[in-house]
Amino acid sequence: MKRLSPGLIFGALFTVQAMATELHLYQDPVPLNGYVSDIDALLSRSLQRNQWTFSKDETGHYFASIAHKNYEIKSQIVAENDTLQVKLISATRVDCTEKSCYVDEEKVEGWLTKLRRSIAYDLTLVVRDAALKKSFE
Amino acid sequence: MFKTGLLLSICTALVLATPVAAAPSPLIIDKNVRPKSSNGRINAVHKEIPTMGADLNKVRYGILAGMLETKNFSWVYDGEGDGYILARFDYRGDTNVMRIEYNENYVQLKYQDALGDYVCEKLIEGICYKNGRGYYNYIKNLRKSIAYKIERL
Repeated sequence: MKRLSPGLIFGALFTVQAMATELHLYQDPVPLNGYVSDIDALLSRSLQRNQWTFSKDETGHYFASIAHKNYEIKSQIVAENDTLQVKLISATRVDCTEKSCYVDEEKVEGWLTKLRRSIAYDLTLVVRDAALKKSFE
Repeated sequence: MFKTGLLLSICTALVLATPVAAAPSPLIIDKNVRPKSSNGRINAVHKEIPTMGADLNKVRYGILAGMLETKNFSWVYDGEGDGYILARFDYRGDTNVMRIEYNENYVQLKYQDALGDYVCEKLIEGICYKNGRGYYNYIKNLRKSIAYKIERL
């Protein structure tokens, strides 16, 4: 071919997109895969590990909040399709002044990633215990 | 011409996006691949772990226990499928997901996905031929921990 087919160029861009990673730092849902019957208990344990405050509203929605290093972070933990997903609601600086009101997004993402990891860690314990039980059957 | 090129590329994308059937097997390193990390590093992560015919439920338990007891940093469950478990590692802005495949003969760690410093530069059928030193160092510990558990089933 003397020149590239427009179809090939367009298709190549589509191919690159199809191969791109879909991982995210903290937003990826934690897959419960039927292992957890008591989400409240799991979240209560997981959040306590890194001093997050766990709450649940009247409609059954889960929330996690923390005051840490002059930050106040509020997040929702969405339970949907047998997964738990961490979603940031707000991140603000406590004692915000004109000179110091900058919210370091990397720090916030780091704390939320640890929150997700803590939930996944407790899930892993549950999955391991289920596997141990099954290995004796 | 446009339609042919487009159709060809879409078919390629679909093939590439479709997960390959998971099956652990003896690792054979292709020395001609470039770029490539050392054989020692590739083996440290991707070499197969014999299960010596252990019951698959016990193997599964060994993998999960090995993930949790990895030196310095536990790996967490990130899903599973027929014959594999996904294990995830998040540390200081870097994320890595490994697909731990298992059958009646072997357990084998394969590269699934990553963010940050551990994105594989040369991936062939789940074997990462080229990555940073951190990838091989961290995941070597995961493999060691799982191998330790499997040997004691």
